[in-house]
Amino acid sequence: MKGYHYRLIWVDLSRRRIETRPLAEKDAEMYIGGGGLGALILSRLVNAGTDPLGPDNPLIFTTGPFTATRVPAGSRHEVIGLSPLTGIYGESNCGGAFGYHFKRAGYDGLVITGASPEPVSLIIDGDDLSLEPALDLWGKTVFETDQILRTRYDQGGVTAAIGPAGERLVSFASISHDGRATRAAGRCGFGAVMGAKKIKAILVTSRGQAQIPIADPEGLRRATRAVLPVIKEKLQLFSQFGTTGGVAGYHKLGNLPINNWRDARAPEIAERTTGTTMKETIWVSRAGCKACPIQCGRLVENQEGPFALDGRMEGPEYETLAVFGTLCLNGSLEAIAKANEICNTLGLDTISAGSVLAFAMECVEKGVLGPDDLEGVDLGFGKPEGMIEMLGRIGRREGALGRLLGQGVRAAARTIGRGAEEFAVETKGLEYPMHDPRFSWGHALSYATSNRGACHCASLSHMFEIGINLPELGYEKSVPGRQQEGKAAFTAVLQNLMTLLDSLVECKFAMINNTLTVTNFLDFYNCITGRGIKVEEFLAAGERAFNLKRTINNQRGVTRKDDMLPPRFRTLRKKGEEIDFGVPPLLPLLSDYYDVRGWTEEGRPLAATLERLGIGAE
Amino acid sequence: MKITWFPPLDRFYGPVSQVELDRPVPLREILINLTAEKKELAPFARFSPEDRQPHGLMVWRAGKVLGLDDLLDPGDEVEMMIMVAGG
Repeated sequence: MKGYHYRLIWVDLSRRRIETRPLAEKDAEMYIGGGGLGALILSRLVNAGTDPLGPDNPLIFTTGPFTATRVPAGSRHEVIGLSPLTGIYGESNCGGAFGYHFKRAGYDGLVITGASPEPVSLIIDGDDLSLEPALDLWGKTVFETDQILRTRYDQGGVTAAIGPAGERLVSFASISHDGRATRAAGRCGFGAVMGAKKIKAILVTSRGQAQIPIADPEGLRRATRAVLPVIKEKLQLFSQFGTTGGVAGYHKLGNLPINNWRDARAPEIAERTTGTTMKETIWVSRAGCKACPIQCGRLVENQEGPFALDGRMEGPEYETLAVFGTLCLNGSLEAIAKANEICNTLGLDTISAGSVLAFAMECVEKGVLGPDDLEGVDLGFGKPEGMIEMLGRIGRREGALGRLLGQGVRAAARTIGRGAEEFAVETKGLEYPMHDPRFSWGHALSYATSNRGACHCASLSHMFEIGINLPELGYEKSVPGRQQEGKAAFTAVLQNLMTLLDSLVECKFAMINNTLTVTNFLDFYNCITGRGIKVEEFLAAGERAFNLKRTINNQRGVTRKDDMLPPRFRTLRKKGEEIDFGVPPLLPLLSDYYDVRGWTEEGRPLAATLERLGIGAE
Repeated sequence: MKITWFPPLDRFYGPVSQVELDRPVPLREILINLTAEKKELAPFARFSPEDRQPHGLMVWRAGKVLGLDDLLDPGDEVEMMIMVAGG
């Protein structure tokens, strides 16, 4: 089978040993790559007692068969491990240029085990692999680290680095890639795993020239050429506005979270923070991932006022706009861009960081946190200065409250007590992304059952429920957002498909507006690998990986009790002008879902399910 | 039929415009006519045969988002705004 180098880098930091090991073809066939392959490797290395911040938790980077090929929007990579934020299976999908250069260096993946006594950086320069001292980098921001390493080794190289947040083990620290052109492996706190292992950064040079073997290069050229005009036609506006264009529309639909998920309407803030406003204010130019024709990112600049930025940089995406905007009742676009900059330089996940701030604001509003707790910070809804100040303290782990909030919403609520858990919005310890489960019951079910906790990318239900068709999978039209009938089966199909895309590794935005389809992805895959499989087998790889991840979580104690929505979505309707959404009927949906999945009532895959999927037979 | 345009689409038609209809007409047809009239609207309102929604436009009537096959009546009041997927 083509499409792979069949080589993995294994680094044992405790013994300072680096070696390459073969990737078994059977593993690549069954789990494809990306998140699927990472989960397989993880499942072989961890057990119920593995500490996410201990040396035995591996940190795994994987590419997929699409990475660094002609496949549009395919040069992404995945980071996998046990999450220090949730204690269970974690993964984070990341764009940029790192995955492209890593695969061109001649490898399919990287497994980092052990822990170094002193800070180090891993340098990947084709076949030359080395661990270099990084004591001088410890304490530096992500941007500084990127600049120093590229000056030292290769200006054209790309980095995956942590900032002070990762070094100080903030539970939702991110791994920032590509320096100022930031693309983050944000979710699940893998920056803290790097910090615990004392690995400050990974640099992949641009000198890698390894050719990726393609079974049918002419077929792939034909297939990719055929879709490029379709991408240009259908994703023109998405290219122009990027994900930021979603704010105003999602507000209208009732998908946008407001005031820590309590309100339904905030029209002025939504208008002030949406992509069209950004285009007319702080927007400078488009940007995007390596070799991607969509280019949905954007660069922003703001040199004035209290939220002036340190130069031109990657701008906030939809999730970041919403979490530091309407969720915190903040209408200052400049403050949101500043919050984004702080997250990118200190190395923080924007979704978790903004969510824990909104949680703390509600604690203040309800008197659960008092003036003495705030240590002089004016923290509250609609107060951007206080939001920015506290965000910096979280990232630098300063002050008692900064340290507490740096453990994430779940841990902070448990420590604070006094009813704070009632407005802690998380599932399995992962803070909610900016799509309301009362608007999309598909999201409600998927948030409850997603393997990494509350994850919108596990199903992307809102997009499919609004208007993406899946005829190849039996859905000429999707199941509407708040329709219970058929929802469990549809959600499982979406989760399997998204897990497949995370294995390939392909950007999910390519499916917006019915642009790229399952048929396209299968065509690309067969041209690259030469396998010639049908859609059923293709999708089964997604289902297999999803179930494998579930078994890792089952081993760590996850059952039905954890497949839950937080109190806010079990008790509070979303009500406002033209909106009246009831709470999602999670319990019946969950029972249907377990049936569809072939799981027990306690949420464990049945032996027959594991056997059907070939899990455990690798 | 009355259309309320949200920024920046209000630049093309002003904040409110009227479309004369003598019968119920599918949204698909109305968008084709509107974009023929104002080329600037085309990037937002275009769609392909397999689509259920235009690529960059949300059409909203009485609390519901409309699909391309939904019928609009002469007395309807709708709102139109840019809709780009966020994720």
